[in-house]
Amino acid sequence: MLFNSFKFLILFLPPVLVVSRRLRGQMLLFWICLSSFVFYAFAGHFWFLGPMLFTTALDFFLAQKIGATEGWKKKTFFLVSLCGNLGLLFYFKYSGFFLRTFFHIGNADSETWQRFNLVMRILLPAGISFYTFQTLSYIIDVYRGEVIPERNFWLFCAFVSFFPHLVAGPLTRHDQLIPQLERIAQGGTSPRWRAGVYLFAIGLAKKTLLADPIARIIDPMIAAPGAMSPLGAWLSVFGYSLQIYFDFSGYSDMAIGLGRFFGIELPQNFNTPYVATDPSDFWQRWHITLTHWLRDYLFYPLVMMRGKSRGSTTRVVLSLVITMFLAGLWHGANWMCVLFGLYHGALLLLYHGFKDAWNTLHHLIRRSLNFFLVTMGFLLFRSGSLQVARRWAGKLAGHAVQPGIPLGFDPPILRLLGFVLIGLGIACLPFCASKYDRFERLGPAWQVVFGLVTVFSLLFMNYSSRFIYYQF
Amino acid sequence: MPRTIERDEVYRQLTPIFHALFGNPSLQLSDAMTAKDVARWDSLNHINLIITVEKKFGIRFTTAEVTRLQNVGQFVDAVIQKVGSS
Repeated sequence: MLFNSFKFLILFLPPVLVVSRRLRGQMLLFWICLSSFVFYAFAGHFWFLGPMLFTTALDFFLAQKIGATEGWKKKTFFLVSLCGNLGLLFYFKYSGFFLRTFFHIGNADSETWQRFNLVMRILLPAGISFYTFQTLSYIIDVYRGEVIPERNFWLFCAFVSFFPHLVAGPLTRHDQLIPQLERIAQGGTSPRWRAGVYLFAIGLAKKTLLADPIARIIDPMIAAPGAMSPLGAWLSVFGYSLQIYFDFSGYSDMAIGLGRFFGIELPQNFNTPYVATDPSDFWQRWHITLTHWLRDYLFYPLVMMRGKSRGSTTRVVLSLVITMFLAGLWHGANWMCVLFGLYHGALLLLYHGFKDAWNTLHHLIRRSLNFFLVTMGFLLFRSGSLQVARRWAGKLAGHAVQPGIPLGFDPPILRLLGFVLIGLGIACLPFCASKYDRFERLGPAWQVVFGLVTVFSLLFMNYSSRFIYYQF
Repeated sequence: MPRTIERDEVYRQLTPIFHALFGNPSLQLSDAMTAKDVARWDSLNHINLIITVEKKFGIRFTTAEVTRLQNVGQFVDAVIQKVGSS
C-alpha cells in the first residue's frame, strides 16, 4: 500500500485515525501495531510481516537479556542479536549479490547461474534496511548501557512497526519515538491536523507533480542511452537528480505529516540539500537520519576503536571510506551503489583536503559546483551497470552521437527542460525543508494555492509509481 | 592523586583548538553553543576535535560519550570529569 494511493487515503487512513482518537493505553499501542501490520502486509507480500515480526520479537527478548546480564553472557546475547538482524538483512538483500560476485556469474544463461537462480530470486521485504537499522541502534544502545530495555512489548512493537516510517524512514531512533508513543498511550493521540495535512500535501505534490512526471520522461531515455542527444543526456541526469530528491523527500514529508496526525513528530530527513555549499554540508541535509545513524554507529566507533592507529589521520580516512562503502551498499546490492558510496567518500576527503581553497569561492559557485558533483553521483546510482554509466557519461561529453539523432528540442525534451528549471527552483525553497512549520500562519491566498496544488496532486495520483526508496 | 581543573581553564585551553579547527579566530565559545552554530562543524571535524582534546588533556572518550555530547557546555563538563578521574 502506497501513501499516494486512494486505497491508503480512503480505505486505510480514516478508520485508523478515528479509532486511534478513541483509544488509550495498551489498546492504542495494539491498534497502532495492528494497523501497521495491515499497511505492511499490503506494501508488497503478506509474508513480509514474518522477518519484521521475527526481528521485533528477537530484539525485544534479547534486549531484556542484555540488560539483565554482564560479562560474556551479555556479549553473547548482543552478538546473537547482531547476527540475527544482520543475518536476515544479508540473506534477503545481499546473498544474491555476493554469490554472483564470488562465483563471477556474469552470463544469465550459464549453468552455474541457473543453479543459483533460486537464491537470486529472493524477494526483498520492503523497508528491511530501515527497520533493521532502527532495531540495531536500540540493541547497541542497550548494550552500551545508554538505555534501559523496554518491557512493554506493544510499545516496542509500535516503535518498530509504526506505519508512517516503517517502509522508507525517516530512520527513527528509540529515544525519539518510544517516549512519544508512551505519551500518546497515556493521554491519547494529540493530532496537529493542519501542520500534518500541509506537510502531507507538499510531499504528495513533490511525488505526483514532479518526481513521477520526470520519471515518465527520463526512464525510456535512460533505458536506451545510445539514442540520447547530448542535450537529452544532460537534462536526463539533472532530471534524475531532481526525481530522486522529490521522490524521497516527498515520501519523508508525507511520513512526518502522517506522524503529526497522531501527535508524533518524526525526525527531519531533508533540509534543502541542493543548496548545500560542499559535500559535507550535503550529507548534513540529505537523508539526515541515515547520515546520523552511520556517523554514530559506524564512523565514530571505527575511529574511536582501540589500537595503535587510534586517532591517526590514516584511521580517520579509512573509517570514512569504510562508512561510505557501506552507505553505498546499504542503498543497493550492486557494485554501482558501492561506487556511488565510494564516490561520495572521495568527494568528502577531497573537500576536507582542499577546503581552504574551496571556501574562497563565491557561495553561489560552491553551491552550483556541489550540485553538479552530487548529480554526477546520481548518474552512477541510476545507471545500474558500468556499461550504461559509460554510455550515459559519454553522451554528456558529446561522444558517439549517431547521425540520425536530432539535437533535441522535441516535445519530451522541452517538457523535461521545464521540469528541471521549475524543479530546481522549488528544490531551493524553504518549504522543501520537511520541517517548515509556518503553515498555521499562511494567508488565505496561499491556502487557496495549496488547495489547488493538492487537488492536482490527487488527480495525478492515478499515475503514481512506487517510491525509489521502497527497494531499500 | 586525582587532577582537578577549573571550568574557565578548560575554556581557555579549548578556545584556540576551536579557532584552529574551524578556521574562525573570532569564535566565542559558550555552554549553549552546538555544532549547528559553527560553520564546518561536521562529523569529521567533530572527531578531529575530540582527538585533539584527548591529546591536550591526556584523557580518553568512549564512542557513547562522543555520540552523547550535545553542546560545548556538556563537552567542558565531560573534560572536567575525565581530568578529575584520571
